[in-house]
Amino acid sequence: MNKQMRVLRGIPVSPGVTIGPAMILDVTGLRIPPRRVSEAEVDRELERFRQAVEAAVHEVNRQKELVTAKLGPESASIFAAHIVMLRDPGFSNRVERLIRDERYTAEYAVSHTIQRFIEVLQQLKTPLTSRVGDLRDIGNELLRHLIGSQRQELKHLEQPVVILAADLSPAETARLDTSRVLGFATELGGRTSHTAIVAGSLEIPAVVGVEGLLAHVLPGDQVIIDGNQGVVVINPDQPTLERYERALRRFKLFTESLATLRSLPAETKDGTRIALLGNIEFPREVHYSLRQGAEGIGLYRTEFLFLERDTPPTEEDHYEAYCEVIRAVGGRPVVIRTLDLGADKLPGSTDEQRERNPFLGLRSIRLCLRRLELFKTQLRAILRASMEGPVSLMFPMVSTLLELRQAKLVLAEVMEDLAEQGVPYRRDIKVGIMVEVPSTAIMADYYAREVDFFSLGTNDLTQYVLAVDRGNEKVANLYSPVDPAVLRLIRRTIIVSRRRGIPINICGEMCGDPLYTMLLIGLGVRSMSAAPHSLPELKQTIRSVSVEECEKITRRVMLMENARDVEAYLRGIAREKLPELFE
Amino acid sequence: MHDPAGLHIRPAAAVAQAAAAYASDVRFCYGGREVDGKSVLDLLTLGAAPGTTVELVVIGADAEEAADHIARVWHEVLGASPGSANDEL
Repeated sequence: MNKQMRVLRGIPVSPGVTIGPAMILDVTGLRIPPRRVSEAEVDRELERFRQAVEAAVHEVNRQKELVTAKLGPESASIFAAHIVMLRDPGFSNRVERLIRDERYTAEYAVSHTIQRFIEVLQQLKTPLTSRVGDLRDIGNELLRHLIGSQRQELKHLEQPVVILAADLSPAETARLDTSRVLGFATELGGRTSHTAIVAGSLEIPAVVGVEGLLAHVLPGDQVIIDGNQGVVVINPDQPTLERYERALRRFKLFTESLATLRSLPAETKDGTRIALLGNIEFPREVHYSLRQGAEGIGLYRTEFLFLERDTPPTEEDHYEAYCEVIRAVGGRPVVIRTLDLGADKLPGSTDEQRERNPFLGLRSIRLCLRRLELFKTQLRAILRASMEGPVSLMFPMVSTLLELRQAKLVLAEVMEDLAEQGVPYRRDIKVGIMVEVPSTAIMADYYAREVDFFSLGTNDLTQYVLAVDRGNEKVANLYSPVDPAVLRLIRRTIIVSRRRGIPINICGEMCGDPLYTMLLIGLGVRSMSAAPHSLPELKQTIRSVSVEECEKITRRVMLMENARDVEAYLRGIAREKLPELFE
Repeated sequence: MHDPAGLHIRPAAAVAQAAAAYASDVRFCYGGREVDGKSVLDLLTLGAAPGTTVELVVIGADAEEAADHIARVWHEVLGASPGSANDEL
């Protein structure tokens, strides 16, 4: 094989694995030459421009309906801004002036005008850069109609392909023919970008934010998109290809056995029920979670409401999102986690708010207690939504009892306000905390008197216990959720919760890896919350083991001295007990 | 200009829509620049910072009425001083 394998990392936005030939889309890179027409052709160019605008508006409206049907009306607001811009007189006047006075072609006049607006917006110091993406979208949409659709070929695909692009607009993503498009990856975009949201609903593997994606790939190159890990492999070598083909077969196997597996309980061989819940970020992920066998939502992250916008979300923004989730889960439990972000990520924040050590800084509940207006708005919405179904409320990153009491005090105030205003809510709403700061795990017996439930957040717990930022590749090898120090804290917290009779759930990433499932059961975990794509594997694992053997494994593990021994031991056990998952 | 978030798309659209209802020429001036008040994109590129003053210039037959109405919409959607008229758009 003479082609060099390249492994690139991005942000996984839609789970699954796929392998296929690359198809590269790049309208954004298209250079439009400044061509001029004769005096006689000016009117025709003007007419072409107007027709393109009408066609684009029509197209955006069509996308809007499509997305509304798929994802509900709130997702369609993405497109409202596009229509406003397409119909804007300031835009059309400039384009028409360029055509009439300079005799430029319609496509050049459009691309030049869009480019000028983008430049001006980028020079502004106000937070309007998100609009730049919208401008590019409408520019591309117009050019597509003028040039005779660069991307039309997407509709006439002969064979299944993997789409690679600098960026895909939400409209383009919604339009992908999922019978022919196996998956996609883009250079731009973030976890909460609109494109990511649409991608998830298509249920094809997708990775965004892959730096340098287009620099090393040619059309037709073999590409692997791993939407579980956020990895794109270009021209995989034989061992990598085989590894992924195995993963793919496994994935297929599970998809096929899903129907049977879904109707079976998550129960060990000796009859112990384990609650399996889904972690979600967006309301639209609920359906997928349920299809994967989730019995409810164990962690609903609400940060997306605050990201990529110019102003903080309103109470109605919160309320609508929560109600959508609650309605979708249909009477099953939902745990809503309050804002878990650093101050630097809030709308309207400035560089001065950047901290030297953000993970030890003003974030999560600490930030909420400082920004009461934000916090109260969210709490009001959660309380109001509690009328719609069994909702619990969870505070993240609590590190002292005082903080918990303060947060509960604010909650009581908000309840009082609601009662005064005659707004209905559930007074008996369950209130819990994330146990993810070591101080809280150590003091768990005290917290147990004041909360209704615990949720173990093993990602942060591990990073705080081991003092390792796993995003820092220089030290990431020190990070392991099965480091004996972390395991001792986990065990301690579980024992406390059991003694005090308060429920405990575990929701860190380790929970989604079947390698650790036996250990967790052995530690006493009876409720697990994980990324929806991992639930079938977890259920399969749970159904193949007994509590007794899990406890035996755990006893062995708890005598070990370092994470590497634990990992190696668990891997050996997993291969032996679950060959279909680990071979 | 009071809204701390600046002039983003929703208020800009409301102002442009109000301006478009009149025959008069509507311009907004800020920092030595002047933009078409009937265009959302123009308004977005005005770049007016929170806490600063933006000048509204209306020329034409219905200028007086237009200026009143547009200024009121501006104050409403950009959250001007409390106590200002809160009529419907």
